[in-house]
Amino acid sequence: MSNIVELRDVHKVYDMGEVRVHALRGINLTIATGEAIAIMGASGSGKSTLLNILGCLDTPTSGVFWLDGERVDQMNEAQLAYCRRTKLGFVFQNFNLLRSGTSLENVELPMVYMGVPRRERDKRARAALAIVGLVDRMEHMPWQLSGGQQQRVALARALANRPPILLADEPTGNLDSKTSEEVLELLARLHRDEKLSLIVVTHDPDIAAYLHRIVILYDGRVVYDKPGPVAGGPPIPPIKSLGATLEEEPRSEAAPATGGPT
Amino acid sequence: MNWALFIESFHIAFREMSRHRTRSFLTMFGVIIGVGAIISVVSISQGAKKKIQGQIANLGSNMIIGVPGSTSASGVKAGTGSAVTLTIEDTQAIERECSAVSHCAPVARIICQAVSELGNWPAPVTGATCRYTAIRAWNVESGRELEPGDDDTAAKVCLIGKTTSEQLFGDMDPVGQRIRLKGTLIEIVGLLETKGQNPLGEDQDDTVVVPLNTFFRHLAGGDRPQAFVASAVDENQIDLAITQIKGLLRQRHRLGESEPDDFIIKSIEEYAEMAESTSNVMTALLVSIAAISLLVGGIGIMNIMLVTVMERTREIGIRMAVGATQRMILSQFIIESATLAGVGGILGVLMGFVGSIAISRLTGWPAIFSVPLIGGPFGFAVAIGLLFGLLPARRASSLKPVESLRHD
Repeated sequence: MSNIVELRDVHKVYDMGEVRVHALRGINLTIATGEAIAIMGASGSGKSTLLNILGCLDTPTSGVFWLDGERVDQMNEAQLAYCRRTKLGFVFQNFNLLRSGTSLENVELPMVYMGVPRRERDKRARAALAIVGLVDRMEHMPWQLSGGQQQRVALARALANRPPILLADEPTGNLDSKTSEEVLELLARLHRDEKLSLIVVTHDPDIAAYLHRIVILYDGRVVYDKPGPVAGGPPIPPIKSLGATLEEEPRSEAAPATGGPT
Repeated sequence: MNWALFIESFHIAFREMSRHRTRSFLTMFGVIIGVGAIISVVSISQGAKKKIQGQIANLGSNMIIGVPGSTSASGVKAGTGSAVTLTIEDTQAIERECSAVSHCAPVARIICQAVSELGNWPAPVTGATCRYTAIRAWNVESGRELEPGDDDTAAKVCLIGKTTSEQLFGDMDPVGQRIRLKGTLIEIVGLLETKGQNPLGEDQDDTVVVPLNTFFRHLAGGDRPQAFVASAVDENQIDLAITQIKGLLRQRHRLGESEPDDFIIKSIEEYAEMAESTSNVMTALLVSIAAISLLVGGIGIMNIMLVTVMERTREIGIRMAVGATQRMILSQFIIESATLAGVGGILGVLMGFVGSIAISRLTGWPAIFSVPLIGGPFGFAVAIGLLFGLLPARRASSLKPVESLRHD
């Protein structure tokens, strides 16, 4: 089985005038097609930066990044956008649905940029919404839906262009525990049934426990990479124990905890 | 070309417009006013022009007007018509010798008090030979035309216009009646048909026409016509006729090579062009003011589009995250801005119609519409939407997806 993601010595430096922030300090990571992997780490560990690079929203300062057989690190803006719409489905903590559109229109959105004609879009969006169990919520606006329903619309949207990779950023961060469980089970089912490679970025060990491989970042480096408990691996170590001198830095990367429907 | 996106962009544009109705309407207002004003001004001015052209054609067929030039004694110019170089013989020679001229009639004018049995009225009296009515394309409604014999004998007969007739005789048929002009009893032999106003707004129907010799002998004295009117054989020979007349008159007046003309000859078309060029200047002025309103409307659109881009930063981030390129975002916002301007343009066209028809009712000038008149300002409005949408759209497309997604 080939690798869907391959990162070699990836660095990311943010040049903020006086200060240069070294967010990633040489990440080496290979993800096989069809894997389900959790990327964990505390605030400031670089996991959001890594997520942005994996999601083709940002490019590394140096290093090599292969995604589904294509080299991404040298791509221009339009090529990155092409990768995002063909290879990746995004799920965000705060759902990021368009508030002016119905569930159906939100799911159709990635297909609009693919140039899929309206009728075909409609058909495929309905199918995607059926997969996530929202057949009866197609014409609802985001604010008419619960948090869990909104996240399922977002999931259907992520599936719309049938990408090989699903990228989830704290997908249950804004949900209560029962709804979180539903969404995670849905993610697990999609991974199994739709043969998706699943990358979940989280700081929550309960979520990571659903995934087959656990990668933990600390200070811009991979410090832990083992199978998860569900795949017969060891229990996930507490993140803080991995960094000897971990300080609580101000959270600057995650979305606000009270994000709510947008 | 991504047609799905192209169509979707219009869909988004209309949805955003209906979500912010008041704001969109206020934004469009400058465009509505601009387009409406251009259409009203141009349609009315074209109507007015057409009306003036009609009036000018009404003055006479292929008509040429000649007046004596100014005299210049010791360097003091006495003004057009002050020279008395033009003679009846000149006009006879023009009619006889200029091949491009069909008729030529000398004319002289005076205003004198006309008295009938029923009333009196200061009537403009024209003395002219019998060709005059033919040149002016002016028919007699009842009675008869003037005849060559009337002129030869200085017969005490006249034609009368509708207005003068009404003033002097009310509803009575004036033919066969007599009026007294400067103590001379003159018989009305014909009633002229209605001619209406000339381009200067003068009532042409307020007139009395007498044979030229009658005019000189009984009303004004002298023997020199104040002007002449001539008609070219057809409209293509007007210029030739003017050239021939000028040549003939220079020869008859024995003017040397270096001497200026002692007469002025113009075709009625030249007068028409003069009137037209004045109204063109006026129209151009008004249209440019309206165009400025359109430009200002464009700036209003740009302003509101900048606000929209700010407000929808998160939306733009989402669109980029699901695969929109910068170009796609750029085109979406340009389409939104052009749609806003286009809808404003359509409303402006409607306002233009309403405005033109209202002005037309008020002034009595016809409003003339044409495809370029509607399409031009509408196209201009859309072009302004495209132009002023560029900056906001560039701003939207240059947003960084990572940062936009974090925006709230």
